[in-house]
Amino acid sequence: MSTREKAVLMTSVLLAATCVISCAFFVMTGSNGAPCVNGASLLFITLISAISVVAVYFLRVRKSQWERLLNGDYLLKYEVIKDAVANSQLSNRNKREIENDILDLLISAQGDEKPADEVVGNAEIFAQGILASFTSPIRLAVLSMYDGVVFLAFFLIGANMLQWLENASQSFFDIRTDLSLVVFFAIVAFAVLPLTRHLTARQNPWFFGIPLAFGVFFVVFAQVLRKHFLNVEVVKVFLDGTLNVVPNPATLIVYLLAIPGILLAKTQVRRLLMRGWIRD
Amino acid sequence: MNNDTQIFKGILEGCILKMIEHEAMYGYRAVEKLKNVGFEVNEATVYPILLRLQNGGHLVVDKRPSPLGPTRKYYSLTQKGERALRQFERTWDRIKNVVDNVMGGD
Repeated sequence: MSTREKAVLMTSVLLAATCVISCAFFVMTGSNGAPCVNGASLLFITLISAISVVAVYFLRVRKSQWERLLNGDYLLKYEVIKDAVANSQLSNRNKREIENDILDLLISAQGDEKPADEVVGNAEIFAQGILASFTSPIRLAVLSMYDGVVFLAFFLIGANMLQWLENASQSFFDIRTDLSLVVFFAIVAFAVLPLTRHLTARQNPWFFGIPLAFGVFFVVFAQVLRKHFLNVEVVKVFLDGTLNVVPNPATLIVYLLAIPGILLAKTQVRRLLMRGWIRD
Repeated sequence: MNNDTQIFKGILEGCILKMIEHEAMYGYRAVEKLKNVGFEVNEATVYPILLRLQNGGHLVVDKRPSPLGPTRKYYSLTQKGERALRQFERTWDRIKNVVDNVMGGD
């Protein structure tokens, strides 16, 4: 299992466990006297969480029939290359094509009993060479901006939805989100996630902790600001200000249309940025 | 040795186009053929070149079943690839004549 696959599986297990434990907590303690989670719901949520982990394993982690043909050094090299390609901004079609090509190369070389080092050399450099044959890494990194917009839209709508679910009697369009949370979402969408994606391609598992580390840092930073700088107007607005990010149905429609629109724009921009002609 | 490497790198693309001119070839076979004629290359060198040539429209791909693994890509020249090969042949002839003159060749 590659580093990325381990991180994906572990994350899905943690997420499922967090979901189940949270619901179990609500079942045991009730929720303001009006429990919305009972034993049957907990069982259902546990089942769905377990199925989600299994789905993640089969869809993202389990090796294909061809990958299972690789062994030892060949498998290690392949996983490094696959991780680098998976973390890139190439289209899913290009990524699958490259994975297939590399599998064909490695299976053929393994069949001829060549040492893996002789075939691939440094797997990270090989992967960078593959990505560079499409376009420069800087051009591809520009596409992260589009991902950032999509992530931010999801975060803002998601936060609004969660706050509304806590008290469904209020209007969805009256929900106000903390300004500090909006700033947090923006930094995560445009900086933390692209940086994590770039650094985790280097096979260092510690880099997967960057989002968590940033979250902890942000909370500590906010607390320090509140304790020592609350008298500063900008800080007060940042910590206590709120924003109505979805003030009306038209704005919600814009958010919802923006997501597929941005993804379509990303596909078109990717085509323009690629050197030569590629069928996407 | 370093000079050899730089020279070979410069002509590798043209040689790959020439090899593929008469026979559709898959990546591993292209590497083996290049090694047989004396190039010191491996898959890590050749595969990005094949991708670049494909992305640049010089090669077209035909996917066929493979006896060992997933569907295999066989590369063939496009018209653009043929024009690039002709250009490479002219350039190579010119360089070869110049170098032969300098070296006092026939």
